[in-house]
Amino acid sequence: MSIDKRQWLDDYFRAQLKDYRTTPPPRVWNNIYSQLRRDKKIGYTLGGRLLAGLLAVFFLWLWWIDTSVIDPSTTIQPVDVPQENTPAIVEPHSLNPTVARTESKPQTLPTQITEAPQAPTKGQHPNSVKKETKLQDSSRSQLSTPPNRSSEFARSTTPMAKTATPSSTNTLLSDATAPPAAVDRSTAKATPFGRASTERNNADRFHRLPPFRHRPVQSITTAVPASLPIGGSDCMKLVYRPYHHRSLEISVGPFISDRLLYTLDSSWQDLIFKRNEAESQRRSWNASILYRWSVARDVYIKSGVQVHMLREQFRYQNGIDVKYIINSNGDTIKRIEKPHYDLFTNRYTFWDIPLYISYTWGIHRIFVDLNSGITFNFFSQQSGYLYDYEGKAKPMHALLENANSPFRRFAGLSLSLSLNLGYQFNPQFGAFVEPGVQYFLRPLSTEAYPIKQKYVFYRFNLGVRYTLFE
Amino acid sequence: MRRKSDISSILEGCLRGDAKCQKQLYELYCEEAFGICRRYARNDQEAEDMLQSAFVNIYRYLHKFEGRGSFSSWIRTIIVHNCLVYLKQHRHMYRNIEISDQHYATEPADSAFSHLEKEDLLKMVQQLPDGYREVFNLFAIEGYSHREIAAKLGIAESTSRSQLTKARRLLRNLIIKSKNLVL
Repeated sequence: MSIDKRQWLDDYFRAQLKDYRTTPPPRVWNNIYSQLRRDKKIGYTLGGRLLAGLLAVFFLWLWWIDTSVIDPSTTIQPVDVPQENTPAIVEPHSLNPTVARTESKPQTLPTQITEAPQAPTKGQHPNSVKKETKLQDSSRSQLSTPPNRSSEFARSTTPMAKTATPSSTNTLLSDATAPPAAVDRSTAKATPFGRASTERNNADRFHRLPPFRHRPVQSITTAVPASLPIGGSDCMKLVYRPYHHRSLEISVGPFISDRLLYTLDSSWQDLIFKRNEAESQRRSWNASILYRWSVARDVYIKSGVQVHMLREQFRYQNGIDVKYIINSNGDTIKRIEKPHYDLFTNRYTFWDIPLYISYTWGIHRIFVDLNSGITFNFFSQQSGYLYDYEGKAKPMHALLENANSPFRRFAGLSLSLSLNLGYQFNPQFGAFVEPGVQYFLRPLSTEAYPIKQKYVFYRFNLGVRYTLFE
Repeated sequence: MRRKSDISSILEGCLRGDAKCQKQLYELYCEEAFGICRRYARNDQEAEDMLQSAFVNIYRYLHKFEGRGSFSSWIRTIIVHNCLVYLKQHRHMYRNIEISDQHYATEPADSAFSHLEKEDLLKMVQQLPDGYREVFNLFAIEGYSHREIAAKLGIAESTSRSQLTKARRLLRNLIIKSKNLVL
């Protein structure tokens, strides 16, 4: 082939095809639109997952911080006030930091500590005596330890503590037999434990938490710190006894179901587009009854039964009815086109067992619970109509009978995140609103059905909380 | 002819995710884009898939268009690139059959082209094996040099040249065959 001929061939094809235009079929745009919509939703769901994960990490961190801080006031529950005839050892957090200065004279301590009672007094819980006894033992062990720990403690004391005079030691030790209310709050703030006064701490806690929810626990099963008066890392060995809190939550409300339809088979894209366009109405509601019990300070587990009922209405255009108005001569006067629709209602029911971990805050009577966890779907039921591959409407139960069932009976696991904002009317009853989101990890559709149908529920429930006992 | 301001407003709408603007943009360029896709595809079904994939990528990467050159050129580049990627991804699905050109060694007369419509030429291009078709489209129609083609397709320049020669020869034979010019 000569150069001219090659050039001519190239030129000819270029001239003919360079600006060649042809109209693509309409289904291409439908497919593009469906894919764009899906991308958008996947973006949202990924964002939602990320947000949920970050929130979970944040609250776990908060919880960890809250429980790991050296704060004996929150780990030793308030003991009954010692009676005059029952001199009791003062709790370590109620000691003034100036105690550190007295460690050079430890011989003054055993004298007073050994006076602690061996039997409960009237109105005093036996466990408190057990604790006091342990305190006594540990105090002895503390006194037998070399004094080098005092230097560690001295480094950690505040300037206020350093300015205290040795003469205040005796006063303090004598004050130790008095109720904790006698401790000066201004000095109590400066302790290495963060908070010194039991009363102050209790007041603080009750200010911070709902008034009816938290009550002092009478039974104390704490391990007693080895370094009682001095403080230090041993104080962290105190085991917190959670509140005996059990309650029942009943809630009901509407929810928005965000349905994600997608397929890997492009030949079904048209049907997805048709279905999205055809949906006219969606109504849904849910109800749940959850049992809530405490597992740690401000941390609860919730579980029970939850039901979601979802109704989707579809209005498919199934053709056009054409009417001709003809006059007496047989001429067509008017041509009326009226689309013909198929109306379907699909119903879905999900029965779930949620398992949430819940973190609680409270201010006066207002409480806030952040719940996150998994929800296990143990049964789901569907009824209504679906289009098959040929575009013909078929009842779901007819499809479910054959091997290619479109939906599964078990929707599997979903992730849940919700927030209870509530008000406690009295020690027994509270009411709350609960916005929440539930994301299904896998589609409701079976593997055999090419269109995948996945849900995200956004619910807004109203509920009541009944406290069984504390 | 659309004004530049119209296109700018459409692009802004697309960047916001406005479905109406996305459709307007599609309607504006779909015919040209489908023409390109058909040249690179083996058949119309594949061309539709290419077009769909190309437009999804256009919407996805629209924020990268800086507005320096013409939008039409940018969109054309994206579509061509997308077609090449698509062919690369789906190459394993098709088996290229080497077309024998031994029987049509004689060059056709210029008059042999006169009867051919655009559609006929397109069908001929579609019949070329993947490699030949890509090189022919890029060189003869898009106007890329062999060096650019080699860089785009990850082949040697000599390969590009030889594939172009073979593509021309095959096209020539297809033209002769269409005219029943068995010599």
